[in-house]
Amino acid sequence: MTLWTVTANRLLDGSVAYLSADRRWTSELARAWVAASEAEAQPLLAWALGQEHVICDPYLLELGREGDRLVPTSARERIRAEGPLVTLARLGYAPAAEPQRRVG
Amino acid sequence: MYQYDAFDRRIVEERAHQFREQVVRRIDGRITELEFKPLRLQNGLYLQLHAYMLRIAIPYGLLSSKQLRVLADVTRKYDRGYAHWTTRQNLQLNWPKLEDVPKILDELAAVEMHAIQTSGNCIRNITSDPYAGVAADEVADPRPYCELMRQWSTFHPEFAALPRKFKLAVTGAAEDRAAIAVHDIGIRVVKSDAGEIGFAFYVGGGQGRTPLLAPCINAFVPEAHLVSYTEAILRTYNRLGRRDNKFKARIKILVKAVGAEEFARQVEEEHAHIAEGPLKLAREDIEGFRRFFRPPMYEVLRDDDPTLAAALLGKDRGLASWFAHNVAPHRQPGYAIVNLSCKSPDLPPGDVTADQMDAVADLADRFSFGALVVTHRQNLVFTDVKKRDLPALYAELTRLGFATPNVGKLTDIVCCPGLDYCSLANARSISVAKQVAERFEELSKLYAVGELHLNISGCINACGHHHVGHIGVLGIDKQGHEFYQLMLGGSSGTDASLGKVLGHALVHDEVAPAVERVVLAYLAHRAGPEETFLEAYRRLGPAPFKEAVYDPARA
Repeated sequence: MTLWTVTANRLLDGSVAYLSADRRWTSELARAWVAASEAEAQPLLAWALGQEHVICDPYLLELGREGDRLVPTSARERIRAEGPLVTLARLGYAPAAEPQRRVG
Repeated sequence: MYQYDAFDRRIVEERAHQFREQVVRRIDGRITELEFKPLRLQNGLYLQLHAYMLRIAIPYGLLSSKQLRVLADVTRKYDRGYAHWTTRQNLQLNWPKLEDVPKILDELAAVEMHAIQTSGNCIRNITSDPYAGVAADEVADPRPYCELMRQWSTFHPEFAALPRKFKLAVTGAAEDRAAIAVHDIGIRVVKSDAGEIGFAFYVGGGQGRTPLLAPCINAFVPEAHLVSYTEAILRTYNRLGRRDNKFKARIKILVKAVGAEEFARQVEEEHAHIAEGPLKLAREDIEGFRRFFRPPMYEVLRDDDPTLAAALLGKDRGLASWFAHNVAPHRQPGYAIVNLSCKSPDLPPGDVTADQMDAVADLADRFSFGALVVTHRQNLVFTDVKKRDLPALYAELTRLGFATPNVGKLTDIVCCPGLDYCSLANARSISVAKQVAERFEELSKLYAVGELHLNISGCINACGHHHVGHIGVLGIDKQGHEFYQLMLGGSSGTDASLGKVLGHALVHDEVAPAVERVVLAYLAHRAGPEETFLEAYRRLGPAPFKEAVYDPARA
């Protein structure tokens, strides 16, 4: 079953943000507000479009469930949620040093 | 190298100041994202998947050690300690914060750098031969012409809103190391039978969605008309290029639609109006630019340096291997060109840490007159190294991780940032490069294969130049999943050609094994060790490679 949420990038640092149930922006997909249909999500997107002072380019994002976890349905959005998947442990420099966002 | 005058300094500082004000207005809400986006793009600032990305211009790839130290400093202070050399000889920061970008631009301006025209529908950074000025096969140093064109194109009001972006490359050598056939305009410096310098103009090449090789529209444009003829081309394109469809807006589409001959006729017609105007170059104008690129104070040295000869015969076979694969002939006796390989399984292709940048700057001061060049194959070049210093430089580069003797080989992979970073990408490219690099980490395998260019792009925009890889890999999206097309037979060199898709798309983990099967098919079918992969492909066609990839049991 396809679910929906609203996502955007934060104005100040461009980081990924999801709209939470209390109409705040969160980096955690697990805390995203989820709609059961695209039609249900549209009013939230309309609200998000008025949030330009904190975010850029909001849009609706399709989600699925894997067990009890919310997961984006596209590779692009999975990587967007998790951060770059490049592993550079041998040199030990970022992004490995940065905390990774958790998916769902 | 070129030194800014008061005017250059003023316009770059003013632009940084303007952008600071624009950022303040965006953050406090006085301008919308719709209004801000074109402003930030004009200053090279993109919004990518996870963060902003700042693309910093490195005109024709040439950097001083002082500039490199500042790049290291901003990478450390305002980013996460690493940056990325691009296939247009630029540098990208992956994680700058919006409010820090004006500070970065100020610090860049202090060393004559900027991010102007690294995005948007304007004339982008002009690229060139990384061996410019020292190549043995050079007709003339292309850098004075590149600099002249850079100044002409910077803030050119008529060409600030072209139908699409516009890329120029200039080479002065017989061997094309600047990929001029796949640029909007590729310029080759040539000499007439009478010994006069001029330019062959190739127009309408490019990669992306519609890959095309540029036809030559004029085999000899006199030196005095370099700028006026280029302006005539841009003016013709600006007038006739399509603006109704982004995917049909590049000059290559126009040249193909009207035909090279008719396009050339229209350019000539336009040029007739401006050829004798203020854009005509006087000899002293060109001399003025040449003075900035005079050769450094070379020592008079023997070309057969005994120190090097002894070292090459010594126990360190690594040195001999590095010398054979990463060092190129210089036209000054006793000197050599050194390629620093930025390709190892430890780092994404083209990535560099701030500490490495500082160390390379020190080595440039010690070994190569304080200068270096970024290549479109995402490596670095020291153009002026004494042969007797090569063993010492090799030791330093080995410590730094830049001495992998793989330049021009399969693991010297050209690769865009792909879906790990880029908002346009359809598929990851870095992880594919890493899998191939690990599979071919053993150098003896590489040397048996010989020259072989692998280029990987994460989407059709082709920042990894997959169309001109001997083996090209293109990431595509199929219903939200990553797939990869393999293409063979491309080349960006003097014998430029476009690769052809081999067969159906592969999933991520199938790509590296498929590349290996292509390589094994080449080794099995080549006429002999002297026949390169590209030559073998051109002789054999795709059949044996297709069978190797898709029907390995029969191959």
